[in-house]
Amino acid sequence: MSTDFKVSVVAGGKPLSNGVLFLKDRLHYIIPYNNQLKVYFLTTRQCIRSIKFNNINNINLDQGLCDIKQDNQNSNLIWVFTNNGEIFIINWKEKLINPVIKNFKLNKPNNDPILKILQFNSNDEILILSGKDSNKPHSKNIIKFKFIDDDDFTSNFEILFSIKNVLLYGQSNDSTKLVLFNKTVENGRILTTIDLKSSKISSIEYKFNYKAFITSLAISNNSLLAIGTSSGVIHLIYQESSSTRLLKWHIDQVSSLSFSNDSNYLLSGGLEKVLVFWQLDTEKQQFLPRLNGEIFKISNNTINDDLIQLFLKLDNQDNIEILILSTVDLQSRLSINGPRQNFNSDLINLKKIIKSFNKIDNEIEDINIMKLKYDFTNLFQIHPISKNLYFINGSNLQIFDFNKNEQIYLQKIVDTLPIGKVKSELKILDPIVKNFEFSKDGQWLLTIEEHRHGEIDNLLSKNDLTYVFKIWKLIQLEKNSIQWDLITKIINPHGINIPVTSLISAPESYFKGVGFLTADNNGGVRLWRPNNSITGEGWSLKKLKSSSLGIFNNSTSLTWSKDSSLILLGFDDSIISIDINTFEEIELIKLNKSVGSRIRHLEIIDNDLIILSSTNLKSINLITLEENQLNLQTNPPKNGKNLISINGKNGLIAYVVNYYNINSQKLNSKLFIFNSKSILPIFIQDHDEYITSINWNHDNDFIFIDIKSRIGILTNSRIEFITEDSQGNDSQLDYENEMRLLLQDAQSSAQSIIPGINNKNNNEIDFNNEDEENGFVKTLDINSFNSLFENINDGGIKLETLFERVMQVIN
Amino acid sequence: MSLSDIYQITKLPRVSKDLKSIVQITPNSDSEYLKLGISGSSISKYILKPSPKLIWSKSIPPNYEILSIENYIKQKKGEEEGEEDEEFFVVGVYDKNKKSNFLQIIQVLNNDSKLIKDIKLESKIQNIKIHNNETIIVVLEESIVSYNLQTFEVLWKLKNLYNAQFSEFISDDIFLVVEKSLKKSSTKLNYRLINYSGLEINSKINEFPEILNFKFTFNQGILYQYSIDKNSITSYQLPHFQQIKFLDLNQLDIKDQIISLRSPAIDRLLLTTSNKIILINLRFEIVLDVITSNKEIQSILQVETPKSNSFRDSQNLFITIARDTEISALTYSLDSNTIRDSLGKKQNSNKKDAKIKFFDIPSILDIKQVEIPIDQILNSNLSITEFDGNLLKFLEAKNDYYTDSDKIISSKLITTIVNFIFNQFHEKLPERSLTYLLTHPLFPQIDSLLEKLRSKPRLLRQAIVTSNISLNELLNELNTTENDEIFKDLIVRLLEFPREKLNFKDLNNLKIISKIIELDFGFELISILIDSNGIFMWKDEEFLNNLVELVESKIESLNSNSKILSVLDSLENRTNTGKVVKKLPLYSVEKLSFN
Repeated sequence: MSTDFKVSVVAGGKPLSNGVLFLKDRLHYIIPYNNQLKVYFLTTRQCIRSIKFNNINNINLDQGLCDIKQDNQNSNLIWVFTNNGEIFIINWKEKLINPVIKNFKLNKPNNDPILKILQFNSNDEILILSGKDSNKPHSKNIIKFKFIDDDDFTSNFEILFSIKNVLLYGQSNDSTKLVLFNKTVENGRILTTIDLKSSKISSIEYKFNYKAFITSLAISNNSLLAIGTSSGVIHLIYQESSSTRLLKWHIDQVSSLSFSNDSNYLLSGGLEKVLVFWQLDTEKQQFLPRLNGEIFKISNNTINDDLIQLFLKLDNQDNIEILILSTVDLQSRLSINGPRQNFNSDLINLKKIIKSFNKIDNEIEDINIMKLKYDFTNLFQIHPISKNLYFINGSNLQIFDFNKNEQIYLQKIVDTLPIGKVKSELKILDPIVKNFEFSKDGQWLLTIEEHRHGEIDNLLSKNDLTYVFKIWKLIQLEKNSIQWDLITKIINPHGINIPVTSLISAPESYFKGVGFLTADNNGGVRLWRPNNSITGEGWSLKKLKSSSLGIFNNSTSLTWSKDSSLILLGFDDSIISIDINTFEEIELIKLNKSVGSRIRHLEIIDNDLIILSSTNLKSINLITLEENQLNLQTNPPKNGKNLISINGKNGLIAYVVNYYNINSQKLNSKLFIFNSKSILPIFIQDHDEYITSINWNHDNDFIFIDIKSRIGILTNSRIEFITEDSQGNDSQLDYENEMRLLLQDAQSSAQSIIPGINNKNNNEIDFNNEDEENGFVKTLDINSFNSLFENINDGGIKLETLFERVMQVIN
Repeated sequence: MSLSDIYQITKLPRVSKDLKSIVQITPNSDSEYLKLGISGSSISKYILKPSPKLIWSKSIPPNYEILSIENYIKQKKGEEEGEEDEEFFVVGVYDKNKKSNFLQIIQVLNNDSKLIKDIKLESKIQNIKIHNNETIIVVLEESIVSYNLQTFEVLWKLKNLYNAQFSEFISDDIFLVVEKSLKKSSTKLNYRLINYSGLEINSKINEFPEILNFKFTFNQGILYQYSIDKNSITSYQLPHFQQIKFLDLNQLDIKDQIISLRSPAIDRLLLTTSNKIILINLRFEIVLDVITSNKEIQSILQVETPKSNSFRDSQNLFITIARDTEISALTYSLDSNTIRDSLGKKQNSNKKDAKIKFFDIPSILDIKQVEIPIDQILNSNLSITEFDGNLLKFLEAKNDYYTDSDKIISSKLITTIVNFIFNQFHEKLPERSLTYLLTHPLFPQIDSLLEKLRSKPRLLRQAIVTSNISLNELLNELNTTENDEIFKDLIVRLLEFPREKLNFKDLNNLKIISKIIELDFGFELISILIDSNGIFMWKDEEFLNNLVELVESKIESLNSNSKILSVLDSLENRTNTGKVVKKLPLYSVEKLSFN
């Protein structure tokens, strides 16, 4: 096995909704991710430091992050609390090999996770709220931990308060007040307020008599209560007077509520994607609309009154955005994003898979651990020039810089309502981007949208299906700033109600790669090119093979040979060959029926065809039409094309197998590198999570992303050799170029012998002039002797030959 | 990508056979003029159009062997009328008797010639080149010399490291020389690029541990090197001489020694053996065409190369060869050098090996090679039941038909199994195995499969319904079958094919249609049947009338049906008072059938 490859998981990650910390220096934000902590400098909005979780520091937040607090004495230290009571004290500022200063676990009274750090005012006392994290009523305890030994942080605990059947809770910004909402059969719905200011804890109970479901809860520093309900009404409760005020604007559930530090304002958010400011004295409202998602959490900054943190839910796939806003100008100060993956199956199904495997008694039944019921793969593409990662999530195109590990641009590419949908509006189906692809020159992007009309109003158009192609051109605005402009929009490119199931871009040999090829579920193939190949304006259909099979299948795949002469269409389990000139099928029965199962992906590498089908990964030589040695059993998911990628330069195949690990009862994966002929992989690497997608980065590496949105890179450190197929027009140019260089070289060194050798008319050169020749100086550099050692291993070169070669170089 | 037959252009004068190189051609010969040096005989100039004709010739002594020949034309500067261009030949000669080498410059005069200069040389001439009509560059075995074309004085001289074997101008100013050492135990080749003024631009030495003999050719930046001893071709990319391709010709079933090679275009090579001309594609390693000559081929004299690299227009190009005692020619055209043109063109050469090993297809999570005991499964000594049992157990067949969970095998293996069955069990076919195999998606297409299964009607029907069978065979069966059930099966199967592929030409359409009507099955095919050779070809008027009547009655009943439906619809609408919106289907399908 080759050691030329190396895997490192270095980027990506999902931002977490707990533990965003603004440091007391009023300059830095600490943002926790599931794989790292990032420190942002607020003034420049740049990430200045990231603490990655690795084997050295052993930080692991898989159990869930509870909160992050700054140390009360040393401002360089932060305390990271996990839900299971583990605490990491981390030095965020200094560059240490292991930033973890201390790692210990709280001695908890029971197994309940820690839900909230209520108070952390001195380094030897912590007040927490613990209890089961669930949507059902459960008991919650307020526990005080006291460290008795400063060195090893052993602690004793004291349960200060216990309340049963708690559904929701909220804490005031100054962390002195806590409100809990509990529901019991006999007493109905009760709000309990607890004052944490003094060591003695007092509680007041308030009975809530309205019918609406309570969806959010907040308490102000001066004990004012705000209760958000599922109907959209906010109840303001003045506890002293027991009077209630209703605030009405939201029309669907209020997901989040927060008071300002001075208790003059209430902030609320919900499905509408609008942040509402309520001036409580005047009841005036202010709105900040068109946010990127549902506001599920608002938190006030306790150090700087002008800043608030909004937590936006972007989709149903755990993707969130953290938005740090200034309340003065309502401008964003920081926007925190991870790579926004759009999984083909909801992540909820992860548990179902593991359950179904656990059920199988593996001693009786033969289980296929590669056959996973759900497909969590995700489509991302790497731009051929900028090497940025492109994700499509909902209506947005996200451009993610792998090296900076930041989202660099977000562009809306689908026409959808910018406001959040509520109630029956949820039935309106947004267009979905099914597929997208760059042209090989990186200047063009084709997106395929699917519009379903949905059940709304029970119209006749309910089952209508519209496909839309959008062709975008890359616009370079300034340095590092780009934008995609819509050039052409094609509605129903393959006909009415016909889904487009495959998309690839043209190879470089075909009009410099400016072109796209699409296939539908009926075996039709269409070729799209710009009308004017210079300006690229106006794309239209150039060639088509009609869809006439009479058989429908959504499992199609396309590949186009590098010399652009041959297109292969995988349709169900058969391969249809298409001549690029006539655009008609070539009868080739032996190839047509060579797969035996449903084709997931096709790829031509030199003279070999790589087929990924629902049962095999195999390779067929197109010249002999015989199977190559590479033929392995594997069961890729429906979108298995996301798990295979070809290095276009050296023809290496990267393939990912996700499987159920019987021992750990988790989904793991393996990364393979193959060449197109041999059954033995060049490289294998295990990965501890399900990998959702892998892509070639148009260089020497492959980039993959896993289900936790961590991005890894598979690097090839070997020096590339010139491959056979890199010939053609390019090499012709190279040849002339190199020849010219060599000639110049020779001439310039000759000029030092006899001036004027360049003069074509002056052919009378006396080469026997010994004196002149002695004056000849040849410059040697590190590359001069490169060719010396060529094929030195082939046949055992003799010393004499080596000597002759040396003489040639220096002479 | 074809070679035409060889035809004779002109006869050569008889010369003694022991001369090594009989005919040399000037590099500037084209499809209009042929300028040759014939050892021991003459220097001649032929005009080729409209028919080959000798227009000038100078005889040379029989002991003169012509090793290389060049021709140049000096254009007169003056504008005076009647003054013609002067034409010269530069000939490299080896005198067999005197064992001496010299260079002759001969001027062409009307019906005569004039020896301008005779230069004595140190060693054998390899190649001659006129540069810019100013200098002559002569590559000798041991050195390279350049002469002024006017004064014939030596301009420069370069010693060779080894003996020059091959040289060629690769551009206007640069030429390539390949030299070979004459050591006993090993072979060394020195490749050099030299500029017209004698500057060495690049060079490289390659060493081989055994004694080898080579032939070379050059085209478009690539040097092709044929090893006579190994029967293989290696190509090198200039200017750095990196090896880019190695091809063993035995692999292409070319066993005879190659006597000369040329490259008409990138990746393509013309090879000649003593009686064949072979056009191969080096990139795809395939033989494009072979033509056999009835006379012994001596060498390729000249190959016309395509003007552009574009593969879209395939042009006929010209090859001149010397064979026996004549100059012959043929035309050829090139392939497009694309994968599309090469698809499936290579025959696997190890097909003839009787023993092929088969391996299980391993799981990707556990890659190992387990050999399949093919001899035990395909054992002709077994009874049919034993064979069936063994095979189905090996294939992990859970039913009589193929399912996804059965063993995954390679198509090579299934082809071997199927071939074995048809070769071993001619009459008594193993029914269970074949039933299973016929449902397998990798079942190979076999010639006259239905004929082979004729004895077993069950298998015959199975083959029609599921197997990978050619359309022609199905259509043929449709034409001939007398069995109604098989006929129905055939129609069902045919409807799975795209309509445009169905071609009912040359079939007994009348009979098929009457059968369709008789069985009341397969009306979907009627329109294609009628279209296939035109209704006017039908002679049986009565039958036609019947058909028309039938179709018309069918259309009428459809019409009345649709009218009744609309009446019912309107009645329903009236009673429903429009409150419930009935969802209308986008379209409805009604099948044409005769009751």
